[in-house]
Amino acid sequence: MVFRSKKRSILPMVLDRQRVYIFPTRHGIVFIMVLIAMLAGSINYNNNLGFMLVFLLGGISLVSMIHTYRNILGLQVLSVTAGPVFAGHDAVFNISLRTGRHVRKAISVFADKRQSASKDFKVNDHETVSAAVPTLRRGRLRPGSFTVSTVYPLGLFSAWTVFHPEKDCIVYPAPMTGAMIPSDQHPGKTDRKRGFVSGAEDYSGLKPYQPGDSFRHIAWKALSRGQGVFTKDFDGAARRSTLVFDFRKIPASDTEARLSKLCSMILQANRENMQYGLVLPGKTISPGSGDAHMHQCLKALAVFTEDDSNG
Amino acid sequence: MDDKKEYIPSILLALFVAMLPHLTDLPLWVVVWCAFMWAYVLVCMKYNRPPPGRLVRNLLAVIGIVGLLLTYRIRIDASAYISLLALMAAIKPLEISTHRDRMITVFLAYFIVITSLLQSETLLAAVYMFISVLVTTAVLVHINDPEGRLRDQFRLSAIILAQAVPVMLALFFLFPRMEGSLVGFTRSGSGITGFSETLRPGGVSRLVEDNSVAFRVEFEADIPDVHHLYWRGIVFVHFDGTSWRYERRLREAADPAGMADHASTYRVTLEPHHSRWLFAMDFPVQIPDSGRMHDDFTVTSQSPVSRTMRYEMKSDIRDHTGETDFPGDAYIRLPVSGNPESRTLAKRLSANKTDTADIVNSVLNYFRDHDFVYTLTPPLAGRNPVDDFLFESRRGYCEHYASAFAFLMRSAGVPARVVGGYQGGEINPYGNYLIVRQSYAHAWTEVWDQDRGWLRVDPTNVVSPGRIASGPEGGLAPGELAGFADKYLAPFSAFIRQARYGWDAFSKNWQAWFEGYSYEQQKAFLERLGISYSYLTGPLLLLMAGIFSVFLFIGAYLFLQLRGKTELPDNVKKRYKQFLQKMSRAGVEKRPGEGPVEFAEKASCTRPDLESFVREITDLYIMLRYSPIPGDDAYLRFEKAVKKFAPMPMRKKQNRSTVKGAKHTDIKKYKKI
Repeated sequence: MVFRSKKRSILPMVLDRQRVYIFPTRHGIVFIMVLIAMLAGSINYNNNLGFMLVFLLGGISLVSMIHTYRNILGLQVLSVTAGPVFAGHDAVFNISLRTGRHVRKAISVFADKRQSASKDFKVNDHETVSAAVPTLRRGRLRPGSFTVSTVYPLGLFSAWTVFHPEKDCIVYPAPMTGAMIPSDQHPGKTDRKRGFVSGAEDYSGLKPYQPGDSFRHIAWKALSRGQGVFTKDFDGAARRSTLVFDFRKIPASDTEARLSKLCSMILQANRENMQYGLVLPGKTISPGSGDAHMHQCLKALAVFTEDDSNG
Repeated sequence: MDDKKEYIPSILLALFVAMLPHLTDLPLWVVVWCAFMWAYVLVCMKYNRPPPGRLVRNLLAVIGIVGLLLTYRIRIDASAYISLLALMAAIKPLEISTHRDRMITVFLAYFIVITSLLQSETLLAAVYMFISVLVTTAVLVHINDPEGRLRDQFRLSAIILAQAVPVMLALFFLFPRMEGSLVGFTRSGSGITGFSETLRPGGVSRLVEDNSVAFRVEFEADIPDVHHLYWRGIVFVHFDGTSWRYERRLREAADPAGMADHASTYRVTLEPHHSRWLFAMDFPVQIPDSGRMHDDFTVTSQSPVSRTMRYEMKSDIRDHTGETDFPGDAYIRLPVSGNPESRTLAKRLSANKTDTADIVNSVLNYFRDHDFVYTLTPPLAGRNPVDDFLFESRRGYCEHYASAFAFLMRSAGVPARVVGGYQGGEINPYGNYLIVRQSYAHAWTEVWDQDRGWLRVDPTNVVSPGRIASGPEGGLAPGELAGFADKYLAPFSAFIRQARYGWDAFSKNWQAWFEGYSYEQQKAFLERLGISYSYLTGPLLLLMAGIFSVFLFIGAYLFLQLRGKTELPDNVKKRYKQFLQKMSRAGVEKRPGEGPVEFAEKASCTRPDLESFVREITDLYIMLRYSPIPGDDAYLRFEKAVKKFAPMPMRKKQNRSTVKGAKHTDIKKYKKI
């Protein structure tokens, strides 16, 4: 039952009968015990009203089972998303749910058994439920399983589904503050000193060719060397530092510390709106700026493995 | 803790509703204790004070249990048990900070509800049970749905209740009943009222003030005249000077089925009175199988009547038994001494009379001529109660007259005995049956003579004919029994009386069909349905059938509810495929191996009119497929865009876009082409 769902679940998915399981909760089992005690009392005293109450409550729990089942059946899990986080923070998985034709109440989502707040849904509503998973180290965090469940209305039965989406959360290294040590390594810009702004006009570096770029600015030299099509960047706003951070030049004892320091540097550079690039063993990110660039760099740090450096 | 406080009032409500029927049974201090605790919890909530800690709670629990021990000592009965539950219900709301505590507290409320049912099985109790379950279930919904409104939760609770009723009915009728009790003990009668097993004129009368129902009688034919409605319960034989006792070693009647000139068949629904006497109209000739008739024409059941009992009887309406042998010396025996004046009176009244009827008449005339008063508040008697009554107070009720009359008869040498039971009854116009209340309890005498056997003589009838003709109030002086209702609600009394009869008619049917439903009725019921009820295998099979039918019910429900409702899991790829199909109809084919961006560029060149839609869909697709952080609503937007996308076919070559802003009519036009 559980093993079947080990394979990755394809999203979006509908919680149909094959996916939804139902079982009494702990409280439901306690309630059944209470009912058995009541039944014993009714049998002993031959009390018809007692029988009636026991059977009414029994009926209520059975009906509540159906209500619980219906509350979750047909619910659609549209997507699971997770923004990147720094190690040590909670990875927040946003599970996007849609209701379909029913009103749904008190739907909870568990990621790795950690519960989110429960949510209500209107008809044809869609909502995002967040579930947080703590992170310890950088890398790709793949939560073991997600559970969408409900005990509504009486808390006696729990209906749930377990799924394993192909979604992981990128966990950046925890930033570790230190001096910013940019290297002067930069492809095609060896004449730069320490990466600081050159005296030359507005020339700020090379960027990949994009349709529409002027032919006059194509870096023919690089093209002739077979490095690809680059455009010389003559951006007017380019009076900024251009830094390159090199993994190997970071003074630190081990890889993780280096990555943490690099992370901190990237963050600082981004804050100061600098141009920066990243050199990791096996991977080089050419200088750029902006949030997208920062995330690209941080992701490279997050997924960095020693194998890459050897290879 | 703040977010938990919202549950407190609703949980208190559930407990309060469950406890309400017990209010009068509980010791006063337990009620005050509950009220104080609940008020304290509410005050804590209002002023944001933290509830008392574990130590205080434990201390309160200990104090409560000590209080119970002081109140009940070692008497562990239903009342002590309910008091214990009440104490738990009082303390539990102090610690409902976790979901578990709240659930347990609600279960406690359900449990309290059933204890009130063990006390009373009336229709009112049943109606109240449904109300309590409705409230408690709504509270259960409330603690499992923190965001919902209480009103909706009450509605849902009502829906669930209504849906549960069929299950309840099925189980109720099918669940096997047993004869007798499971562990051998039955509920002890609490506050038994009704006629007593000793008769002591001079004791305090409570019966007349008690308006509760003793039993109800349906007659097969017409209801006999009120002067015949003597409901025989117990026969008192032994008199010790102050009180009368019944013969404990009763002989079974030799031939209960005697002659019946004026036979009347009737069905009695007897309220539990916790003794074995069954009531029969004078004189029974045919009794239920489960009963035993004795030679003094009293009828008993095999075990004490601890639950509502229904039995059918046949009586011959007459005032004497018919010729019998001399009953024995026990019926003329009197204490050696005591009540000397009465003995002298008896001698005087019976002097020169040999015929029993003459002696009876002279004694009755004595009562009639000497200003005897029928009252419910006679003075207490001294050492010679008969003398005190006959010569000093001359005030008393039926027991005094019956006892004095029997004493005089025996003194005169006529065999006599006192009969305790009920006399009369109210006719309920809504059901045409007779209601006999505790206030109709009565005592009369029977004297023996050679020809007629035991002859009924009711001396009360001589003193106060109204008592017999118009019920217990009829014999009293005006104002003696005026209660609140008579004083202040006089204009409505007719209406109130009507309503009471209407309700009683309901209750009677309830008793007949519900409370009386037991092993025998179930057997009959099932046999009527064509199910044989073999004693040994029946219960087991029925249990299984019950469980099976419940599961069948669930299965059928699920099947009907869910049939054809599952949708295939749709996903991003599938939607994109739809998009490609639409594009191919619009004249742009995707070659295998062509990436989405390439395809979009190609499509934009071929169909510039569709460019913005193609770009939107492609962007969303790429975002969903490849982006680490697609927006939360990305899928929805994507799905919507693909669905709405309805390009004109290639050959039409229209600049006008039919997408996005396209109305349904446009799409339909396209589809027709």
